[in-house]
Amino acid sequence: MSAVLESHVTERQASGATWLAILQLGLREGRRMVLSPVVLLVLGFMALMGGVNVAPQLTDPSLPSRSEAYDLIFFIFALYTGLIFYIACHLVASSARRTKAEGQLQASPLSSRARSAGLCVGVVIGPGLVAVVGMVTLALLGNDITWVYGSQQPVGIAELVQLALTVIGAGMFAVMCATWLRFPGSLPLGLVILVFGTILMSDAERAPINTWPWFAPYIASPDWIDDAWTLMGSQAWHAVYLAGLCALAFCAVMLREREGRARWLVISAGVVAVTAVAGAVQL
Amino acid sequence: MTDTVAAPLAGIGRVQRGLTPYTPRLTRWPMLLAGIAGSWLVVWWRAGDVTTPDGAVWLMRSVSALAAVAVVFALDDPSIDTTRSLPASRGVLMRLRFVMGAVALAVALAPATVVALMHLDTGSTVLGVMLEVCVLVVLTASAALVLQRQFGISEPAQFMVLMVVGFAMAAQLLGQRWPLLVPPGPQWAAAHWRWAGVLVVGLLVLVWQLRDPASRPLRRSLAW
Repeated sequence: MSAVLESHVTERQASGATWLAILQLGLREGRRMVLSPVVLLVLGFMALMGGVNVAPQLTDPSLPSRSEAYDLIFFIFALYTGLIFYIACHLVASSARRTKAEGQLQASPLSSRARSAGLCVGVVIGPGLVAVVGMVTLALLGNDITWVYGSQQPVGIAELVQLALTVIGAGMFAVMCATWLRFPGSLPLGLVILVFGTILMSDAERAPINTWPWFAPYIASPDWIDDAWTLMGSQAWHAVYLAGLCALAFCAVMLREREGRARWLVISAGVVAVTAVAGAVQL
Repeated sequence: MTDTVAAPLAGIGRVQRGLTPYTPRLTRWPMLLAGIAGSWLVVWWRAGDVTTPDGAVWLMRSVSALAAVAVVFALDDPSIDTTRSLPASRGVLMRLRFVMGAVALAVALAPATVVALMHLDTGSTVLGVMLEVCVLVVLTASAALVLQRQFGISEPAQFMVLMVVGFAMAAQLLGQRWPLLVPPGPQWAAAHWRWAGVLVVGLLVLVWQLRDPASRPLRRSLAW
């Protein structure tokens, strides 16, 4: 009986059901990433440290001004949010390996690749949503500000998109590390590569060519990085380049499984080409 | 010592000796080696830029943060669920793990220390930098043992990067009120009294976690 019923399910319907399941899994994984104890712990810790630091100086218990709030949110997103979500996403992506539940998950209806795709969708839905909310808040706050970072104007939309993409990119990189490097040290190893790699590429003085920092997986805003190279390229194309890096991390996750690897190699080659073009055009 | 006491103790000694050869084999050597390689790479990358005592201090801080995250992998014990029920103190095994971690730390920090010593002119600055290294290592080791012994996580070292990031965050956010990451100068001595305070807290947690729960008297209670 079941065989007869299954024969009515077309390949398209099965594919649609799989994508729906991936989306549902993505929603669940995104929620796990945002509500990870790491995120809540670090945010609570930052609030505590900030409170300890600010409390004795409070003579006037008024709310911070728009420019102060703008500065604080920008600072937290530019320095810490990517790192925090890297750790949270890695812990979620490696939880099955760490709890030795991979064998049980093999018996679930979703394939290993579909579960990896669900993790990547989770990064976009969870940390991505947090980043979008932060960027919308910055855009609204920055609308009326004339004083940000000395005499500079608030950053533009392209730079805000870059900031959101660095958060999503850190999450994607974490999933990629957890998928490919399946050993206990992959979390610190990936973080060290991410941090020191970004510092190395952003260092204009040591770069082989003066445009090299544009290829770093980081924002290129002249309001944040006080270097001459930030004034030379296109902020919008740098955002496209960062989106390309996020897509490349997704392709790398998909390439982990042997099944269908040839198709993903072709897709990855296309993404590499688009990212390379965006990287060249941004200069 | 009577035979009734000596016989079980000899048995415990045999169990410890039997476990000892497995400890180096179970150690996460790749991460210790990656930590050493990473520390040396940072020195190779930045040593040319170190021209002032401040630069030397920051080089030591960066390298010691990297090394502290790596050497704590010597405390990871994938066999803890099996071996914790054996009739043997963990003291010998823990001592062996600490020695392995200390050797890895010394090798990782050697090039950075040589570069730093060339630029640090006063003894108090050198002592201060060494104190900072000790604090980072003690904090990561004590946090790892808390996770291992109180929460049953057999391999806690992978989470210690969070400890270092959190400590750096706290030092930055509390920089105005209780500065820790200060350059050599007038604030150096006051900042290092704070570092010493953090070290005391870390050491207390470490000693508490090294206590063997099976033995009551304080003299025999440390797992050393």
